Amino acid sequence: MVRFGAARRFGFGLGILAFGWAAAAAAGTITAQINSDDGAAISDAVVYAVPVGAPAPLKPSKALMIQENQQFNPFVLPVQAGTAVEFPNRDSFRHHVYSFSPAKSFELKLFGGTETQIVTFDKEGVVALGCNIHDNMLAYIYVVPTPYFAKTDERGQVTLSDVPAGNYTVKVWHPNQKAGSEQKAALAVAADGATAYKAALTLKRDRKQKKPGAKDETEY
Amino acid sequence: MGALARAVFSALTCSAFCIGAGALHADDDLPSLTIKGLLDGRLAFTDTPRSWEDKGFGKTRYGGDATGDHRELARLAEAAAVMQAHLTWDLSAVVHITANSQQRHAVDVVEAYVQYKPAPTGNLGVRLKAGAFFPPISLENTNLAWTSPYTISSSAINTWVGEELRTIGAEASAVYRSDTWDASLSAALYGFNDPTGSLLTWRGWAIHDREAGLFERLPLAPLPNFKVGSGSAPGQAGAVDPFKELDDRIGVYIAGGLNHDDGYKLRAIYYDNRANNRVFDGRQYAWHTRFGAVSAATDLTEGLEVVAQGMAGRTTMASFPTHTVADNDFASAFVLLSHTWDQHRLSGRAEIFDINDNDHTPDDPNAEHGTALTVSYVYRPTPTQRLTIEALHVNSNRDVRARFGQSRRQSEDLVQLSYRLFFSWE
Repeated sequence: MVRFGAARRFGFGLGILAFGWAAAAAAGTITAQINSDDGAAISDAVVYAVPVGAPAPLKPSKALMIQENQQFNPFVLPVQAGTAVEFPNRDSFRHHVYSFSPAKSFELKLFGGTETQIVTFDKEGVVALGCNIHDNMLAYIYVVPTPYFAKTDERGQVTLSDVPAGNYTVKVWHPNQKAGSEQKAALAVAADGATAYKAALTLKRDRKQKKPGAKDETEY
Repeated sequence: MGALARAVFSALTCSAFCIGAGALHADDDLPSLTIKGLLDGRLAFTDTPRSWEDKGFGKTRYGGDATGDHRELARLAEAAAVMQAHLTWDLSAVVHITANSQQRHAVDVVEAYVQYKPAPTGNLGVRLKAGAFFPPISLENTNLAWTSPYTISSSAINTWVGEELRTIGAEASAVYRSDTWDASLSAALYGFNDPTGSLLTWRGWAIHDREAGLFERLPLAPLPNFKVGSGSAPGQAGAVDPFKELDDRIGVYIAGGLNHDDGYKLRAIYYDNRANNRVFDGRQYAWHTRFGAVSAATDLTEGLEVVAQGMAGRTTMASFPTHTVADNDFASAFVLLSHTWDQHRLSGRAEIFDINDNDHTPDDPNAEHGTALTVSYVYRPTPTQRLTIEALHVNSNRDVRARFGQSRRQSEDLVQLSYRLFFSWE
């Protein structure tokens, strides 16, 4: 766990620079439609565009992984590497959040009430979150090397806006996608235009966050 | 020694628990206390055979009256509370108590243990449990206070687990977590399980939901072999005291489990109480009981689950130093299908159970064979209420009934209506 301070200020400065640069250069959008290979829309898929041959600017953004009603919210949280994520506990009871993923291994002891702790994610990759007290709780933080990212809605759609004109590698990630079915494509983003992207993912069986005591009575 | 040791032991766990509870609102909200519980009011419409609970030969919890007539009963089937005190972030104490209209004491302790469960820091982790708790056998009794989400009555296998099995000792587990599955390997050392096998032998399998507390005695029919002077098991009390230490030998089990993200679960256990089956304390014989059990559960489609379990083992008792008086192979298996939609759950379970009597002791015929069908419908109007209607049909053939002038083959029907109210405090 790292308290953000200098990193945030530095990131913020860079962000202003980046924003200035992006606004000066003409920016376009990428609209993506992500389906499963049998045609069903997929929500919670992270779509991100990595600039080709240019460094990706660090864009500060506020990111929250909330614990509420014995669940994590959101189920999938995409963040740019270097982002400090806040973990507020909005339940009246304790949560013991952990991850042992290679991208970030940590443990947070969150008392009930309004306790918030902050973790900075600076390594790209998947961070699977669990709670040592409530086995039903599950969520993913997906750390990407670019500020141009978003996740799909219920219709499998997502729009990345303010993407500076240029060449990008567009990638998609979903917690249920089958290993080896990673999707990526080269995409040229034009100034003031929308570039369309479509991908079909091969999914494993649906893996989602269980409701507390979903099976029946509250478990202990 | 048994009762005293159990009392000391329960007191120890309870004090760990009370230290936790008593120190509430200490630094940083730790220790903290959570209490969850349930009340179960029951209407039962019975068949005519007398229940084993009333020293009869029926397999169900509620049976006919002394005159051989069926009954309609209203009972407090269960009042249970599970109290968990988190002593630190990794260490907690759990005490599970129960009250019902059939048990010996007004309130009894079902489980009392401390658990060390650190947050995983890598793929491999450890867990430790010490005290009194259920061995990891059932994929059926997964809910609060060892109840089943599917039915009122547990399967024959888990009914017996609830009656005669309790790990009173310590269990260590290694857990390996991958991206898509986790596997555990557990080993336990325990005592106080020497009588295990006596109820299974002398009463046979049963199908109900009343698990035994640590201080409980479970009734036996007045079998002729208990008679001093003429019986082959002279002096056996008219009730089994399941959690007694008789021979000062330690029992063991090894258990494995696998949970896969694709929705399936597997469990396997080998259990051996390693009892010296020549020991008798004047009321209770020690039985050498060992068995293997496997269970599996998976979601077939959205909302449709299947749970299956099998168990096979052997139990022996040698009241005469020269030869084994009782030697029985026991086995049972069930398949349960359950469909959930909205606030509803419909479940059906089919099972078989069997005891082979390998000895030739003339006054101790323990062979039995039976089948049972259970159909249960659960409606949950709110998260804190559960309404269940269950029909249970048991067919069984048990040799010892003939000694009492009854038919070996008996069929029983029991219809139960249960209203459960859940409460929690934290």
